[in-house]
Amino acid sequence: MAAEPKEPRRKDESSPGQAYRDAGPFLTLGIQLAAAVVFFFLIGWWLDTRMETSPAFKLIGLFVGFVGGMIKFLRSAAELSKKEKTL
Amino acid sequence: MIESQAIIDTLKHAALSAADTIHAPAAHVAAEHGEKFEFGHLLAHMQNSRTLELPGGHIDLPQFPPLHVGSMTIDLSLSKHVFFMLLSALVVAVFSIYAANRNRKNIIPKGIGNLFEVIIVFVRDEVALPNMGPGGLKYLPFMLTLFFFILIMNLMGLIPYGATSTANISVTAALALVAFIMIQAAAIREEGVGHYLAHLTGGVHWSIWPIMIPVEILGLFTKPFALCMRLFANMNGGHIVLLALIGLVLLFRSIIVAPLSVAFSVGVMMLELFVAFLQAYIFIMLTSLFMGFGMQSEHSEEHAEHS
Repeated sequence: MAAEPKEPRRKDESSPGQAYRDAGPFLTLGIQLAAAVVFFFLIGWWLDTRMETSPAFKLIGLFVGFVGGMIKFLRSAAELSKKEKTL
Repeated sequence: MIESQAIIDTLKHAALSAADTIHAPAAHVAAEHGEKFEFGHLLAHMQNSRTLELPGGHIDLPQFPPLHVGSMTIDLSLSKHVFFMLLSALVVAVFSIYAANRNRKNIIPKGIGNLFEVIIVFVRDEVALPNMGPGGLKYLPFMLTLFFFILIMNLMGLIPYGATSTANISVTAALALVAFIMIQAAAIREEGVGHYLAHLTGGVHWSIWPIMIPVEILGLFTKPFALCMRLFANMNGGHIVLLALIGLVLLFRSIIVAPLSVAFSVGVMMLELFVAFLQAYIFIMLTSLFMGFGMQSEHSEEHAEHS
């Protein structure tokens, strides 16, 4: 016997969750950048220990991870700000 | 200088007692008997243990022999956090079934049925629909189950002799794993496996796919990871502040500190009550938001432009 579902709220209307809805896409961007660097660094570390080429692959891993993380970071930031403008 | 040494000693002891807390249910007894005060003794209260503290003493929870699966050893014995988690599940099940039965009989919900209806309508109108659109209604039961389960687990820690299961990182990690599976399942269900895999390439030139695909896959995991850490840290943080405030009385060995410390503890307790609701809300809020990202693919965006 619950009330009928309301229409989804519009963007401009304030509601308790609006702040989280706005901030949500940005919340994990930082962790993702860090995770990318760490992940590729660890791959480099693993390759270094296998091939005894330290520190070549660690440095390559750091660089690749940073580039990849940055591409993702900037792309999602650009995408989200574009979405923000159209609404 | 002496003070900083004392702080280091206290922290060292806390770390040591955290390491073997599971075997030290009686550690807090030493603090009660007026020996040298150690913060670690207080900290033992919020950690997992194999005993259940009760007003008249404590009960040893039933233990089962560990299972060996391959090289893994799985201990399925009851611990304090597991016990309160099962109790929370039972409480949620009993109350929601009772409320549902009552609401089916009464056209105008009263009492507990009314309370449930308010929360359910709130979750539907403020969480599920705005984040996932009309397609989100089929995930509403999942959202509600998650909300009530986390809420009751959070509140259990505020009852005297209770424990907060969500202050255990294994519990929040399991909840985040469920959220992770649901986020991926919703995305695959909405746009098909092909589109889902296409998203993993991030829409970049094929020459940098070897870099971008791992980054995108990591991106899938960071969201539930943040959910897990957020709930764990928020539930633990309040308890640590409370224990620190109570610990002041024992540290100064003076009754003069007590009124201030108790007053602040009551304040923090109120805040914890609020945080218990807030964190349950934020958990489902973000889960539905992330599910919504996966569901709002090309065709649903077109739909939004027409309306």
